[in-house]
Amino acid sequence: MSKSEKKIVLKSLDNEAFEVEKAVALQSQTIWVMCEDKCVGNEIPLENVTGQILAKVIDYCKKHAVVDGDGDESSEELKNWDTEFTKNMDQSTLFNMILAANYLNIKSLLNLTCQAVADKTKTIDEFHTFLNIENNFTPEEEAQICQENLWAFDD
Amino acid sequence: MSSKRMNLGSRDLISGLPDCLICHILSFVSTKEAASTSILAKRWRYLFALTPNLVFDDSVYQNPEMVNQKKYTFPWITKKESKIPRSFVDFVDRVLVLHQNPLLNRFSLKCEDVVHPAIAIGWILKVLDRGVLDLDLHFSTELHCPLPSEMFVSETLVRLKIGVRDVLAIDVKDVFLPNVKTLCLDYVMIKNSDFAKLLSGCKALEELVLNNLFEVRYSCSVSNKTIKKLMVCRSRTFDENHKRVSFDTPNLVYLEYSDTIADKYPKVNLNSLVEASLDLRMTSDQIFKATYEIPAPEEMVGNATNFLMGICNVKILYLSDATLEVLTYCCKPMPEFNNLIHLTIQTDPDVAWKSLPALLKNCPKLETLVFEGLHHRYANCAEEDGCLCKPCEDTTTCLSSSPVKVLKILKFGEIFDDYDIEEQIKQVKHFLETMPNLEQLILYYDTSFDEDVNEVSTQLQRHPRAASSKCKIQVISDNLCLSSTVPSTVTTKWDCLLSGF
Repeated sequence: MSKSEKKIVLKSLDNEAFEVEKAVALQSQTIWVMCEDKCVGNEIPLENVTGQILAKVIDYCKKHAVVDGDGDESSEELKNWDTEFTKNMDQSTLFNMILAANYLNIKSLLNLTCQAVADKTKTIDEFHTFLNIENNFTPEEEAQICQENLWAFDD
Repeated sequence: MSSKRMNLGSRDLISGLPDCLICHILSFVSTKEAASTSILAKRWRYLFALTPNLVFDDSVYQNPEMVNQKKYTFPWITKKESKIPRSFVDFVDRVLVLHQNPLLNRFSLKCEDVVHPAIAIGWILKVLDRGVLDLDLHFSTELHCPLPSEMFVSETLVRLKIGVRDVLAIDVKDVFLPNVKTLCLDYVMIKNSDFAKLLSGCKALEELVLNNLFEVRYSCSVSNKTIKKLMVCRSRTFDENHKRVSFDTPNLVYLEYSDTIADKYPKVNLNSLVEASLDLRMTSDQIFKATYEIPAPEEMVGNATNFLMGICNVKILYLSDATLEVLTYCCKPMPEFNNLIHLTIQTDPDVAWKSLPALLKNCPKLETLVFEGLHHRYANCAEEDGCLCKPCEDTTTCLSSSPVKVLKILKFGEIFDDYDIEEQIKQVKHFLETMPNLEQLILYYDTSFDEDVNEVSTQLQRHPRAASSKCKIQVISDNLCLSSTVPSTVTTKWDCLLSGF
């Protein structure tokens, strides 16, 4: 295999191009299927992901490709890297990462980012910045739902 | 109201996700926590019941700390005062009715309160019928009726965990679990023949966890061709020897074994084993014999030789302090660990290092030696033959011919009774003086004072050593980390002295 065949170009929604090793990109099931189908050339357009998010996704894939390859780093180090990776993401990035991981079908990244949202909702302040969901229930409806799931609300 | 919410910085981002992704997020919390999102908004009313993981645990009520913690988990909920007694059963029933997700990945049920067995079994049958992949059951009270036989005939189950606080008798009739990769039995009583049947019905088993398994005849035989990872643990409260324990697991890679030694190990087939973590113990009777009846050198108080010979091809080995005593009193001769490269030794102030010289001599490829603490029975040192801390002939050979390149001391500075840190520093100096191939010495110092670390580091850097000048000495504490290399002036002199010329 020539060197150029080992590389692949990913193009984001905003036309940013990223040249990456094929092994890195193929962690995405979506890209894998595209490559298998040979329906694309060496350049793969990813119409649902911005360059800013794609750059982060590629960071993640690079880290995980290396480790799966030579097993140089321990799984614990990798876990720490993952924690750091999501730790300082703002909410908008995190939700966009979830959407990107889902679209690109990278299961471990989807789990990591969803877990991060679940974890970040553990303190009051964080939660208020995270979710701003408008309550469209009437007080009566709210009371009824509490009754329905009584055990869950009965602390 | 909705226009107010659209202010910058207060966008409702999570609502931009499709239902399946919200459910995926909710699958990382317990179903109880997930259910508290049902009053967020109309869209959320039933989403909690559609997650692929259903995790029910009524034990939070038993643990006030947990209750407190939970309160902050989903704080947008205004707590409703309710006089009606909670109904765990109603809740589980309701969620199982609502659950529409085509995939049921995990069903975990932990009951501290008494749930009528018929109800619990009803739930189990229902989720098995839905094709659950991961079934995790934990009952704190006796079930008073057998687990449904359907549990042992499932083509979908991938992980099965059965745990109880009291011993649960399992009666196995037919077993067909072709996809189960992980099986975990926790406080389970099972007939030997049933256990064998259970294992032989798991054709794809990779991981087996036996936590306080009781086989009826005080013997245990794990025989399985596919399993790679095995954990056998019995808590220290059980002070009796198994009659016979056998491992016929030719593809096992990892073994964790924590138990009193068995009287006999008739079959030990562990030919693929790479890593073992052992906490083998003598019973208190055997310890009494070893301590007070002082057996003749060739006499053993128990015999674990066959087992230890069976694991001697490992590359990575962890030995608890109790296992050191087993090596001393229940194993003759010392097995040769010809492939061992990484050895960790747990130490204890009541346990002598009597078996260490012979052990180290039999590890010709050892590269990394780790001590967890630097304790041992100092009082008897003078009487013990070949303790590592005494520069007698035996010790000097085992250390001065040691191939070890990396020496790590964990919990350095942990002090029991009236022994002081000086003993530990002396010990480390002795290692430095004698081990010729050391390239790295790392002390993980258990202290909150920077001066301590500096002091020890300086002392060790100045100390003459057998190792080459490249040997790096690091003293690490949570607060700071020092590391440096030291001039080689004294090295050759000590090399000569210690190799006995």
